[in-house]
Amino acid sequence: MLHFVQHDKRVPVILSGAKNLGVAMVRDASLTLSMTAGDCHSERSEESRCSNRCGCFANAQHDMTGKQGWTVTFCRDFVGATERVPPYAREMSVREFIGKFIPAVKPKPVLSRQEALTAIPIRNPLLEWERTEEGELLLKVPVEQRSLVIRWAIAAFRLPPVRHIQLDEVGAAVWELCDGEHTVESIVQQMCKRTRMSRREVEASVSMFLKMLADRRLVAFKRGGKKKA
Amino acid sequence: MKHGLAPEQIVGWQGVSLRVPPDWSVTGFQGDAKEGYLRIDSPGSLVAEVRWAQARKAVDVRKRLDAYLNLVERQAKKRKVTFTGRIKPSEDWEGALEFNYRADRKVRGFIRQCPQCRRVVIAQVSGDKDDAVVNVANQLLDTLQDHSEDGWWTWALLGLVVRLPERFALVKSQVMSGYLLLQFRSRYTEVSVERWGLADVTLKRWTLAEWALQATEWKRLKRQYTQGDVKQHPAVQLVGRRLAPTVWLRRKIERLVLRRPEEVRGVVWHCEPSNRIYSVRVERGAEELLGQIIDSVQCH
Repeated sequence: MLHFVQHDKRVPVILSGAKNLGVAMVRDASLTLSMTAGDCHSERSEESRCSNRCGCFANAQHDMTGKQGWTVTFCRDFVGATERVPPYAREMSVREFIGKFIPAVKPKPVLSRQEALTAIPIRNPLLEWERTEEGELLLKVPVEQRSLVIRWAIAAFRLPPVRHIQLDEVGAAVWELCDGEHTVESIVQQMCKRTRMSRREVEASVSMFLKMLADRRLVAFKRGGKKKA
Repeated sequence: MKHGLAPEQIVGWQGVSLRVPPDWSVTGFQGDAKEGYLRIDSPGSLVAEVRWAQARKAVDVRKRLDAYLNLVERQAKKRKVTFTGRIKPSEDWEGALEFNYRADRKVRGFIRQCPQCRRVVIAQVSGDKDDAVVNVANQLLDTLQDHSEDGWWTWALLGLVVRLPERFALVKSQVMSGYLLLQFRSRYTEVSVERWGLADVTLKRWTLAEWALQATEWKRLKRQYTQGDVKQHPAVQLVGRRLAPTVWLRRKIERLVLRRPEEVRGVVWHCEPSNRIYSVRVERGAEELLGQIIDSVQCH
């Protein structure tokens, strides 16, 4: 199953199930998301409204040529994923239902520690980065050119189209482990060995760091399998 | 050890200490020596908890345990969970009443009042339904001590182990990822113990002396330093005085009432095997005390 955690408005939203494909920070690109056969219930097209509310839609289509995959094509300005299941199509609590109309009432999704540790962080494929001589890492993040004012400002003042984020040695190590294969748990374990800090400290630091990256839409989270004993 | 559990890491807080496996860590503490709580979590779902309350005279531990279990039962009822529990005099722990209960988690523990220090301690290990709670509880709670034999309390959490005389009360604690501060006070003497992680990253651009003078509390002091060794690790020994005008005024007043001068002594050292930096600072205290505290720190 593919599940993504989106940090939209700093509230994590779990997108779960086959109908809820999603990825954070995808712009001007198409991305194939692999799914297990059990999740592909039928061959059909899904639609999702852009999270930036520009009114356009992103299409997700069952990829017959791929191996049980879905090809998701996003509009140019699509940033983040929104829930695709209509409210009546799934079971929901009264509070959730009311929350659809009154956002303040909407219950906050809760991630258990176990779920958080088994999540798999994935780097935003649009980002470029390079290592510095000191072992630090320089991320090149494209500036979001959503509004006309920003586009005009970039053109008028010749602002750089990318902003740079420098990660220190430890941050760089975590970033390189966000390759879509390592779970948060395995990143924590590797960082424990590397930094020789206690597990709890590393877990707290890595979680905070990954949350910060997710808030800035530099990484997305895929829900992983069950934690190995 | 039974079930592969190796309780080799010491955890100590407010005079209570116990040994837990190395991958367990302190996740919660509150209160003081009179009344408090300590929680230690395993990487899985097992949790060890200790609650203590100082009593002046002998108390009816059965009554206290009943009150505690009633509270747990009420909370379980609120959550609509079936509660089953039993209490019996303990065969494993001397002079204690042991209890086992099952609500949404399995719990085994004991309550006892120490005849020496009069502390009433409730200690328990809880876990999910498929955890070996009984075995783990038997092993961990066996190591629980509610007072020290030599008058020195062990303070141990997140890789910092230090011993201080009982008279020192914890006045400030700061537990952050990669940084830990414990500050103690006994009348006029103040002791601060700090521990930083990621020493290799910290000391990449600085020498230990440069870093100690610029990034620690020593930057606020008028100080002198010498470089040397502590526990076979590179160290910086510092002596200094506080600079604030209020301190100057206080020092004058203290001189009038013949108190000890406001002198600060400390040592900062880099433990390479554990990749940590430790600092011990004693204000208005004897040099001998500083040496004893440094000796008690287990840095690797």
